[in-house]
Amino acid sequence: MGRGSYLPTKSSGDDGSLAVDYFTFSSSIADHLRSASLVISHAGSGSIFETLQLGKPLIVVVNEDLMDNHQSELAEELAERRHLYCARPPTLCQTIAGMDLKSLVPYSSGDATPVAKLINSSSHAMMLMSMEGIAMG
Amino acid sequence: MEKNTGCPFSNLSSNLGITCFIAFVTVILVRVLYVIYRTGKPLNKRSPQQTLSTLIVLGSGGHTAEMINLLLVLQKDRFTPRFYIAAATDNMSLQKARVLENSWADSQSGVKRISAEFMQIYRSREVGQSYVTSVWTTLVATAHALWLMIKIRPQVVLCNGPGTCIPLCVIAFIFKVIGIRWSSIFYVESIARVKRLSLSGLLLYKLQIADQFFVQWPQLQRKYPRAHYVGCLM
Repeated sequence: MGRGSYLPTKSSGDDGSLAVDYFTFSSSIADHLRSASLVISHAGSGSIFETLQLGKPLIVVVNEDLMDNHQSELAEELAERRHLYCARPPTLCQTIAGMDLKSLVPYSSGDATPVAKLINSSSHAMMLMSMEGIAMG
Repeated sequence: MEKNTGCPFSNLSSNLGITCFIAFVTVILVRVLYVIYRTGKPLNKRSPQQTLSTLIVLGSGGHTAEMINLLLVLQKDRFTPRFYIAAATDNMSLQKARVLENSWADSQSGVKRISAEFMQIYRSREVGQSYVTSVWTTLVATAHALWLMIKIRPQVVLCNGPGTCIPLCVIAFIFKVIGIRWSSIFYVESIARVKRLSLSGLLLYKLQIADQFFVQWPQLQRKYPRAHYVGCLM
């Protein structure tokens, strides 16, 4: 799965064991997220915010092998703000055992509109500067 | 006036050459300082609405998701034509951009044709690649970037962190200096960067190449005062 060599075993869970299914790729996991009551994910920003915006409880597991470990900053910040639980592979079990999903704070989506407006108004002004700048150069 | 048999003309021309060279370097330096000084400074608005050719740099994973999030609220009829660039080894990003543009084209019902192009560029650095070997790959990427930038000459550049954006932004800056095109560079640091800037962000911030440098967390604004704090965009 991914770039690893581990392959889970599918299980229907009929015999009382944990039901396990897997896929290596899906063009959209939104439906899977919607039908879940708990999500455990790597700490990529896309995965995190897609889950939080759907209002699902989330445990993120930080990939400690990435160059300069940029996943952990976001995971830890959001965990501090109590929007999710943050774990590392060795601590995942404890986190699941000790989690209280009701204590998680809902995440309210951000808004990119102010930035779009800033870009728009700056471009407006800089158009004039470009004509001035090239004329002076 | 010449007393020696050595060629006086070559003395004269080498002095002239040196003088010209010094003058040239000085002009470039002054121009660079002027560009840095004017970078990001607004003027009073006078011009009517005008379209701006826009280069959008896409990066793998969350970068593209964040960029699409921004594009959804951007004024599409102003920032057009749009040129999307993604790394050659990134299979998903251009596809996601195509889906976005198609959905816009569908909702337009044919009055104005939305114009978008999709391109790939050699990657400066692969995820996990060592910084040492990245130097060579960045040079190759820069040559490719130069080729693409000369073709596109965008008026606006939007990027949010992938290494792919560095050669493009540096070239856009050089275009400003030479006077080929004044490209306004807008950099939005990724939401994943809470306490430290990415390498791309750090370079653009320190070299003062970006016209507007946006950060999404207050910790970064405190550390980098010239950055513009806009809160979380996702």
